[in-house]
Amino acid sequence: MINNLLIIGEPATGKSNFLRMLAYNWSLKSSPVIQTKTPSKLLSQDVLQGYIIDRTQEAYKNVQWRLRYQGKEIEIELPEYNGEEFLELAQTNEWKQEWLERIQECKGIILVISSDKDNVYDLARPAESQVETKNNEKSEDDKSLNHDLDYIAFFQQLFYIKKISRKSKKKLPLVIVMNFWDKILKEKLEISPEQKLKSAMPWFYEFINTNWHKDFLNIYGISPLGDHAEQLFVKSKYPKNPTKKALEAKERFVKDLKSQSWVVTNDKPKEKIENLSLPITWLFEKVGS
Amino acid sequence: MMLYTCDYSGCAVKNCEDNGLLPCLEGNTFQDCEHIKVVNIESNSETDDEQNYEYEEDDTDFKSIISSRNLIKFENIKFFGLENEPSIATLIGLPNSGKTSLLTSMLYMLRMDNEQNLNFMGSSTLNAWSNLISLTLYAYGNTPRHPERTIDKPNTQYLHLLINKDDKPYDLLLGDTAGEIFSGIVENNDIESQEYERIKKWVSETKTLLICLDSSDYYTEDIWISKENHMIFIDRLAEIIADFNPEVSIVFIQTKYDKVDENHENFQYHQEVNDYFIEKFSRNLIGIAKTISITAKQGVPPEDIDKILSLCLINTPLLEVHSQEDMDKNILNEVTSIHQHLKEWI
Repeated sequence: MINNLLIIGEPATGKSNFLRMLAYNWSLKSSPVIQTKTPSKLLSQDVLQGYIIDRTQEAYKNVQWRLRYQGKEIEIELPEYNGEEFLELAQTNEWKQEWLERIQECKGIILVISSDKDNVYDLARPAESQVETKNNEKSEDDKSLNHDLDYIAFFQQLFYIKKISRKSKKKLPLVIVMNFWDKILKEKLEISPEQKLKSAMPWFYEFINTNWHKDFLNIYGISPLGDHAEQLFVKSKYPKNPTKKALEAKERFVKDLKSQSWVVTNDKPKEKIENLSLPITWLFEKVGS
Repeated sequence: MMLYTCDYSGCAVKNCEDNGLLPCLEGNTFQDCEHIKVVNIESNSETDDEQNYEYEEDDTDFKSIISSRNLIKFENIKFFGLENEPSIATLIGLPNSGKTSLLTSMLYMLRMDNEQNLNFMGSSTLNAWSNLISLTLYAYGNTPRHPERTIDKPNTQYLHLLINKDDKPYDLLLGDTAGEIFSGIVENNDIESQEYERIKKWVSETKTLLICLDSSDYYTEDIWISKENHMIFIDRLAEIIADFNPEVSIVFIQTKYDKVDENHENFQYHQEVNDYFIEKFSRNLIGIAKTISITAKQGVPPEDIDKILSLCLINTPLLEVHSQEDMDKNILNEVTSIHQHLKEWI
């Protein structure tokens, strides 16, 4: 039996680099996850050469990543749609047939969210320091609430399509990865991935927490490219005269590539676990259970 | 159709058509009145946000209603009640009594730890909530979090919340009324009036009335919000309830209660109005709550909001998964096919 998983996330949340690093990690001999069919897109050599992957421009269909984990056959419906498509889905009730099929067939979801997202201007909160509200002009912050709503709307629509009761505790495995966690640690923020999600998307956080059965929801912080990520470049934009910092970062990144990626848990948000597969293997174990 | 309304609370021109006979208390002609505003309900001049705040189109089917993001018409509430009756609560009160602020506080409360263990589980009116909150934040005037005046609409329409309380789900529909319709009946007790008809409709449809009285208002000398007018409002409302929904539950909400502390010398007025209210509605009263002025107490979590929400829910049977046999008994024939289609999701 094949278990389909779906990876979703907004533009610029780092899905592509996450997947490339997973593909790299799963190609190592020691990997508990075995790739039985890997899409060519994931075999890009860029990462191995010390470059990051550029923004995904195109949508491509029917690309499947077949994996085996502890005797379980897993198929990840590759999400190499551009992130804008996720936002479009979240903002409409009219979904394309291919998305309806994806949603109906998926048995688990990986949601990628950027930890770099600023805290929302919590419009439903009684004002504390919201003195700027004395101005009657709408600001960019106004979009934040709608943004939070879009995620809720997406999942409500998903419940409807998958015929999941809106009032039951959901047992559809969901792992939320808060990407770019290296930035959180660099800023020395005392915060867990779960707390970060709560501060960035409070309404969505409440929605997820209330709706999901706790055994089927997990939240991690991840840094697929590790601590050098900020100094790395897309190949096509690599400077002719890179700075010393960029050169060093690339060199160190390539030199010990397999230990670059790390994950943090909510219990120990500062402790880097050099196992990028952790959120995914958690999901693999939940799927079909 | 062009509708016109007058901003002046004492004027009877509320959502009237321009038929050349519009009354004006100031004695102005309609065109000359400085308070008059156009409420153009069928034009396309509204912004996208405003359009989203409107309820769904007439040709909606159950699917679009249930997954809609906009306000729900009363006749479509039945889709939330295919298996269990949803809760319907309507906020009423004189202008500026804090009804809309209370609504936004309800939403906020669902995201916080609260004594009643209430949590936000979803909503079929997400855009309407978003727009309501945006309007609250960016309203006219200098005070943060002061909502724009709620515009009276010809049809009743409701916000929706799916609330989890102690691990049990409840549907709650919330109606937000325009205060001007109540000031209208204080001034002119005409059962033929548009205001009277509106109030009658809101009162008839609801299961719980959340009646808001502004605690800080009773002492002012402004005739429109005096103690006497509050008592007239209570009298007129009591008559409408007795005539059209005598079994309705009532929650008495004393809004902006923190301001009472600043007016000790007038406390007796406050007490008189409250006592009068309780005496008039004792048969229907299921709870009394006091809420603070969130404008004045920025950063302080709104009090008693969770209690108010809980009171709205106790009138509703639990949303439970029944046996097929039980469901078949409960479901009306006319909606059987709809239920068949929606039963897993509901």
